[in-house]
Amino acid sequence: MKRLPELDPDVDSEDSGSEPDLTANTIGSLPISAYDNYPHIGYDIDGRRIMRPATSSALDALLDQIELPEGYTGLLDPQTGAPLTLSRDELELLQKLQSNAPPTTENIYADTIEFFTHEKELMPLSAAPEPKRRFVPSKHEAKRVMKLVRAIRAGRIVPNPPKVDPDEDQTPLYDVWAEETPADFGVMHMPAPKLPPPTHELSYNPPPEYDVPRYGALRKVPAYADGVKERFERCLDLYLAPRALKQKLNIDPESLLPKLPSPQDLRPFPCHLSLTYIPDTQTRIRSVAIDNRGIWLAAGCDDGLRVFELSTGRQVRKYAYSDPVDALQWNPVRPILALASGNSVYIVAPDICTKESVIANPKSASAEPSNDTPITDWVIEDQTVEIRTKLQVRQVDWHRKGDYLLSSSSNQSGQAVLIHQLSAQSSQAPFRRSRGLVQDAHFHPSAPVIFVMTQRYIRVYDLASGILTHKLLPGARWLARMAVHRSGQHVLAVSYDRRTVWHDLELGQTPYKTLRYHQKAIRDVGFHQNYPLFATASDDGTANVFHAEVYDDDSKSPLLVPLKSLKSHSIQNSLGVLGLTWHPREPWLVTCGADGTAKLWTA
Amino acid sequence: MSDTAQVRIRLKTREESYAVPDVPLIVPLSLKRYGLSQVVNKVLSLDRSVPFDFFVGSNKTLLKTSLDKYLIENGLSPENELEIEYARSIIPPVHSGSFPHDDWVSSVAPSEEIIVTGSFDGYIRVWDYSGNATATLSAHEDGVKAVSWAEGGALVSGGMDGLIKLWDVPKSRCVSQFMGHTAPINSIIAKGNLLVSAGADGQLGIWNLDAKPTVIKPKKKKAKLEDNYVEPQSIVSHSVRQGNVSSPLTDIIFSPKDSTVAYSVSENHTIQTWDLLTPQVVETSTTSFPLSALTALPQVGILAVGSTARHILLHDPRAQTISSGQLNGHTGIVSSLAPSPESEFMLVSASYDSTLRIWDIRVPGSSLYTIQRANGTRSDRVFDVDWIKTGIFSVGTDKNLQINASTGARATEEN
Repeated sequence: MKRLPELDPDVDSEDSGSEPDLTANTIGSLPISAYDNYPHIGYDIDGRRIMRPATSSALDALLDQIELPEGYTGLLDPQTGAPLTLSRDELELLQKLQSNAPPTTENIYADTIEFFTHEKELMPLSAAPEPKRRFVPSKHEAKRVMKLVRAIRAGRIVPNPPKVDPDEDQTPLYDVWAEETPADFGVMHMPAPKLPPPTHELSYNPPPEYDVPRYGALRKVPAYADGVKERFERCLDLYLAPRALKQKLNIDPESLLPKLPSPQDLRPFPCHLSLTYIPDTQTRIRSVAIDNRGIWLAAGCDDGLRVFELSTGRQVRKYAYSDPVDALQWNPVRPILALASGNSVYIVAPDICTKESVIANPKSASAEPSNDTPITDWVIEDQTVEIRTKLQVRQVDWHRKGDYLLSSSSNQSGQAVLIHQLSAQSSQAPFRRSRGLVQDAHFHPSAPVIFVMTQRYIRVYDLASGILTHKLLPGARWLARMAVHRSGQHVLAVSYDRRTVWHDLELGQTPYKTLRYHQKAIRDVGFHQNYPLFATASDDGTANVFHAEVYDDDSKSPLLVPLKSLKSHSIQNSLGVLGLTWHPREPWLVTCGADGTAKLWTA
Repeated sequence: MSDTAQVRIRLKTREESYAVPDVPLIVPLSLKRYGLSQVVNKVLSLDRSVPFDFFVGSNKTLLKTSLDKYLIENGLSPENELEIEYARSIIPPVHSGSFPHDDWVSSVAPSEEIIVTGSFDGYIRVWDYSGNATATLSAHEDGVKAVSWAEGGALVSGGMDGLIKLWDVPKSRCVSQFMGHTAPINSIIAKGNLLVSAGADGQLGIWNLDAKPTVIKPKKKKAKLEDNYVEPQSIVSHSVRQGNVSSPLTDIIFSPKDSTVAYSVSENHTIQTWDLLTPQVVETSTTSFPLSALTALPQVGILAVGSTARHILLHDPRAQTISSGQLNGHTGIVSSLAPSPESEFMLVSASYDSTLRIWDIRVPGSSLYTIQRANGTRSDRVFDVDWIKTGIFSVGTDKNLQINASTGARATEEN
């Protein structure tokens, strides 16, 4: 509900113009011009006069009465703090700068006035006369000319010098060494100092004389960019992180070795030193032999023959010979033994328990005078028979029946191999000449066949038909000894160049097996009569024992197993074990050596 | 383990005179041989204390330490009952003398009064116990190999020359010679008028000691003793042969119970039982090794056989097979064996490793004592040993007769 204004007679209502409707002019449709001559323009609802509002002209008239200084801008000069006033010129300059106009009022593009041109003026600017020096010759130039003239005259300057040919050497030649006498300077050749060996750097930066691409630094080598990466991958290949799964060959190295039985399963064989046989005087023992009953041990020494009792080591007999006893062997039937000493073969009957003559019924010397001179000379005594030959005998071998004796000499003549017959007291030479130096000769254990070993070859002859049946090539440079297996089918040869060669006669000329177990020359070899054993004696002071099983089945090749290396002999003058022999029944071995002892090895 | 720790033991013996009741005893673990010996003496309440040796456990090892050390070493618990066997102990053999010879000595035959040695220089020497050679007999040309006493103070000797000689020792005279062997005589024994010889030719010779010598070579006008020989009553090659030769017989003994039975060992691995009356081989047992020495332990009925494979086999001759007993310890060929005069379980062995070893066959693990050569080196060989009440007599390449006193049990009990 619209409130009506209170009527308050004490309060002038002219001041309260807050309500337009309260102060609304109440003149209605009467034109306002009707109040032009009055200070008011109407009346309000309460009948009070509405005063005319002030006009602008009245404000301007007030402001005009306030005086402003010349050049007033209303700004303060930041430097002085005083009110900044600008002159008219300065305001114009600012206006020009704001409008990119030239600040000056002059015309900067005005035409030039040319005072000095090529056109001769009718009226010259200067009227001074020509100076004198332009008409007299120059003294300074004359001085310089005269200096040249004097130089020409003195010859210091040649005006037109003759042209010099640059090819023609004008300097005179003279012989520096014309009067020199030749002098001895000692060693004239002095080798240039050795260059250091090429380094890594030279591989990519070689000297210029090589026609290969050169790179000044390793990083300029084209492969260098990938070098680090390749090196890294290479390391991965090598270490733990192969990029491809590699199938490892899973082979047990033991399985590649031939399956050999353990030596423990091949007992008994000699392994334990049980007895040492020492002669009464210090002498080298070259060969040993055990008699077929296993009671006596014969030892061929440098000064003769000694017989020991095998079980006690007691020396029982001593026979002195002038030459060393190279080889000896007991007769397989009777208690007599044959030995080779010097040029003779001796057959001795040691009279220890039994008094036995070597030859029961000696044939009288003049019984059968033959036409040709005999090959050998038989000297017959009761206990000893000496067969004198023309050559130094190296080896003896009895025939299994004990009547024939084979002796061999290291010679090329036809008498290198001789066969002596004890009952007839005669000797015969089976070959006219030998092919090579004979080293050893043996009878076949059962057949009428002999094996002859020369320096390089082993030849097998059939004595009945007299033809060469086998020729074996062991492939060694210098064979030393051989041994024939009791089957007669296998031959063992040892050589000074450290080889032990097993020949199977059925396998042809080449060896079945070549064993190299010794460090130095091998001196002797021997098969056991009953056990599948053989042994080799070497200059390295050892004797090696091998298991050698020979099967009756021809399709099975022999089984060779190294068993034991027997080390006890000392090496003297680079000679070690010189000979060996097997016990006839037991797996016992007797070795003899340059240290002057023989040793019994038992199982 | 505290000092008061105890163990339950059960004592046993094979000597019936010293048997204790078979009840378990509880003894402190710190006891040694001496303490256990006192225990046995106290149980038996003997007048004179008798020392004992003790063999512990199932393998019967000689107790050399205290009981708790034995248990620790063998990893045994002291809570279990321990079985201990005991026997009268012998004193360690003490070297009591060496009689030097000119050459290696091959054989010895001691008696209570005199000792006879055969040497490789061919002489038989007769010694008294003070070391004087009372007689020297020139016996065999290449050395004497075996000497042995016959009945009535007679001496028989076998030589390297294959001859056997009968000697009258008081008169220093050769009574008769026996010829027939073709190789050295390795062993010789005599009982009554029976003489048995084992030769290296593999032959067993059986001779009559009372036989009159016959002149074998009648061509000579004056028959000397050297030409008069007794021919063998019988000479037998033992039957096992290899090829056409026989292996050497190495040792021979009479059977302790029957003097018509002899045992021999040979290099062909066999132990043979001979009936000397027939004469022939009754039984043959084959071992794996060449055999070199033989002796009998009469009460136990066991033959001890020395082998070239460095051990001693224990063989029951009634059994066909070789018993498993084996004494290991020598490092050389066992050359001779002799039984103990005191204990039926003990024997002494001589070997080429220059030692004598005393064994108790109840303790096969190791020898009780080892006796070195007093005047020799380690490379010497002992050829023969004999053990009688007066001592252990051994000869060898040290050219000495060595006597070691080992008289019975310990005289006094010492700790």
